[in-house]
Amino acid sequence: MVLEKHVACDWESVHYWAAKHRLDLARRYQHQYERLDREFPNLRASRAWVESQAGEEAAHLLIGYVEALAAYLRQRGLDAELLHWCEDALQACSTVGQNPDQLLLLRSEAQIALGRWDEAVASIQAAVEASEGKNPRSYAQAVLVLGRLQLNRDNYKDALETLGKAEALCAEQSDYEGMATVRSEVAAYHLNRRELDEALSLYLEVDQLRRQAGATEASDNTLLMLGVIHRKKGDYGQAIAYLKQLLERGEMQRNRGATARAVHHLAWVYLNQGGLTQARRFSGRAITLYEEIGDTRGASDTYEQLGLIALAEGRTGEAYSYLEWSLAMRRQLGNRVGAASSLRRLAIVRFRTGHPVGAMRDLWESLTIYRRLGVLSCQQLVAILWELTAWMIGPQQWTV
Amino acid sequence: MSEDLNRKRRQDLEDNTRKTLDLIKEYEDKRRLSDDPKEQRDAERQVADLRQLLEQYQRERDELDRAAESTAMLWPSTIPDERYYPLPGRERDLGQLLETLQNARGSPVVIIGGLGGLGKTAMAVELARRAVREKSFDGVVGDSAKQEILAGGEIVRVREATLDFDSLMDAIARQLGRWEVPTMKAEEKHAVMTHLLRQRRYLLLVDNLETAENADALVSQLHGFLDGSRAIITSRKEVRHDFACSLLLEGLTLEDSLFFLRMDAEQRGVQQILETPGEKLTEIHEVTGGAPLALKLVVAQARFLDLDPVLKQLRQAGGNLYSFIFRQSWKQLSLVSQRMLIYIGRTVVTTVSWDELAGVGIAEDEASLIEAIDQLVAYSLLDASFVAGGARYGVHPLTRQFVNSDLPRIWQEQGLL
Repeated sequence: MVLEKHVACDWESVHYWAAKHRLDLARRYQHQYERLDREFPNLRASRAWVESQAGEEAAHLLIGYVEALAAYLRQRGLDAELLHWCEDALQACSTVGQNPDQLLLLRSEAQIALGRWDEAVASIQAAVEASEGKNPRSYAQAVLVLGRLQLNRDNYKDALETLGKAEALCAEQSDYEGMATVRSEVAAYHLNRRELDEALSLYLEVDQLRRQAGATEASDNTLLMLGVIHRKKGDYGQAIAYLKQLLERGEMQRNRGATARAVHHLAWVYLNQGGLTQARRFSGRAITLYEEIGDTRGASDTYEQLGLIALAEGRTGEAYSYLEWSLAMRRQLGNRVGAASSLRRLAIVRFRTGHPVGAMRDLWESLTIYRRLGVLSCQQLVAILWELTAWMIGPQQWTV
Repeated sequence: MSEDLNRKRRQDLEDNTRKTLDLIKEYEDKRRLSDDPKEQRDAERQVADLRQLLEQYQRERDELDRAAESTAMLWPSTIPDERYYPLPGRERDLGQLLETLQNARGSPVVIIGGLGGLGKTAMAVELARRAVREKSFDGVVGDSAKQEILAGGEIVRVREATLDFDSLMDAIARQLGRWEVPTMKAEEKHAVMTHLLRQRRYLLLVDNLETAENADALVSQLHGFLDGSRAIITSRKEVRHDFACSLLLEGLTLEDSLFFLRMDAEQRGVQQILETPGEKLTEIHEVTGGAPLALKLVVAQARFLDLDPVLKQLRQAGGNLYSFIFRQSWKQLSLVSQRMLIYIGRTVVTTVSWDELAGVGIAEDEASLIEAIDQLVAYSLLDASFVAGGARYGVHPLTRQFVNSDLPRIWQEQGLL
């Protein structure tokens, strides 16, 4: 009975011991993702227990869990979970009076990954306010994330200005990684405008900057973008080499996000070359992965891709469904460049199925969006018209 | 060793295992029926030697399995790899099912039914492994219809929708690297899958069919796709079809129970069970209904407790057999063992590392912790496994249920909670 009394005392406290000790484990193994995979069900259960507790100690634990595991959650594509954890941790910050700037940034990154851009804007603005004049490093990061989001939302004028400011702030902090990220974003802008050589030289510059800062190999994003640029330049062999390197790395590290992006872009390469079976296979894998990790933006891009694959196969009905679906998702996400892209591909389907009026309407709407966004460069217009012509004379070059 | 030699060695080992099991049964009958103590002792010695031989065969088979599995084998990641214990009755069932699968005119679908905890999945997995090893099939594909599954190490993933025929086809297509199939329209998807399953001989494994949507229809549709391929299905609920061969697993037969009790007692060195006359072992079988877990727990208790009072109380347990056994074991545990069981039962979702148990303050030092682990393993209350990175510990769901439901009730009755 005496023994039982001792053990019964442990009944409630075991959750507390577990939560506290597991946070230490999470911190110790925060860069060993395979190890964290094994511990994660227990870590998740302990964090959930802490969530149901009140008080300052629980608040510190909640913040600690997010800080220790955010990188892991992002790498494993668990952005929805990260978002939930951030919400709890932000409440905890107010309990203990801690500056929430870093948590707001983490929340915005999860929101961006999930395509919840309006919410992300609010998070970033809050992060800017929370860090300005208090934490220069967080402030520089917040400005950088704001610039990236503006770029993603096709607000190019503001984006370039914000990114310029971010680069200066990062330079003040000697934050080379931040500077490299800014240049990657600017390179992406040039890529959108089909200014391929400018984009390529910027990505190579980014790679050099990262290597100067100690990186021993190209980052996932650099590999991806080099693959994309080489595809757009028609250098398919080089594009496949970069993308397969990313795919192998993604598979090895069990990074579902990187794997999804690699196979999605490999599908474009094969589609460009007319390898429709391979293209559908890679695209099918991409949609599975994007849906698994809840990446709506990636999924909407892949539905557009599936639409074009179906069109190339001569299945216009299927192509129409996929493109409509992609358009609806992109509109919901506020992805205007994406919506314009879906529209111009829908125009092709309508032309092919003998609906020229509807096709002209979609094409006009698409070009108007591009023009309003300021991305309708001469190269872009020529490429769009070339794509349309190619489809009228036969499926040769499907993607821009 | 070449593939052919490997296959021949495996065949020899399986034949020898069967022969040894028959011999053990023969000597055990002789021991039971004989009145001559000398003859009984001789028979006992023979049985002990034969069991050692059996263990040696099992070790060799495990080695061959590991060697075979190191060469990539197509296997669905959602099907758990449960351990199978060779027992005479189960071996016979397994042999018959294997023949059915290998017979071109045999039933194309094998259904293994029965309540939870009787070893359906372990048997299905062993059947599939043997069929593939004997080169009857080119690989195993399939899915589990369970809502919660382990994937990617130990991450618990909750399925968004329950398994239906379409999603089963998608899962199979993905395992075959045909990622394009899920993007196709239903008719085309079915045509491609029919072609794929007819091109090569696959073994389709569907676990926990009872949780699938419209299980009967799923089995019928599956049948239409098989051609040279075959299917193994496990289900708690009964599924009947003319084209299917069903095996309903129940508690172990008396023969298997006795075999299991002696094998387990020998492995753990539980002399009391090894010296117990057949009638008393039969009583254990009757009281436990031949449920493997209950048998294991009784063997574990017999290491520390006198079998007569254990059996007497088990007879009174009625429907609360497990709760009763656990309660009995609980009383025998040291303070550290009890704390560890509470810690794991209450806070561990899958398994826990040594690091965590050592660091969380369950025991004052490592020696007491090791002692507690030993005690819990001896009582069959803790399972130890080894993965890259070290040992991990977990408990059976029924043990977890005891910790979370029965213990607080007991303590409330005692006014401790």
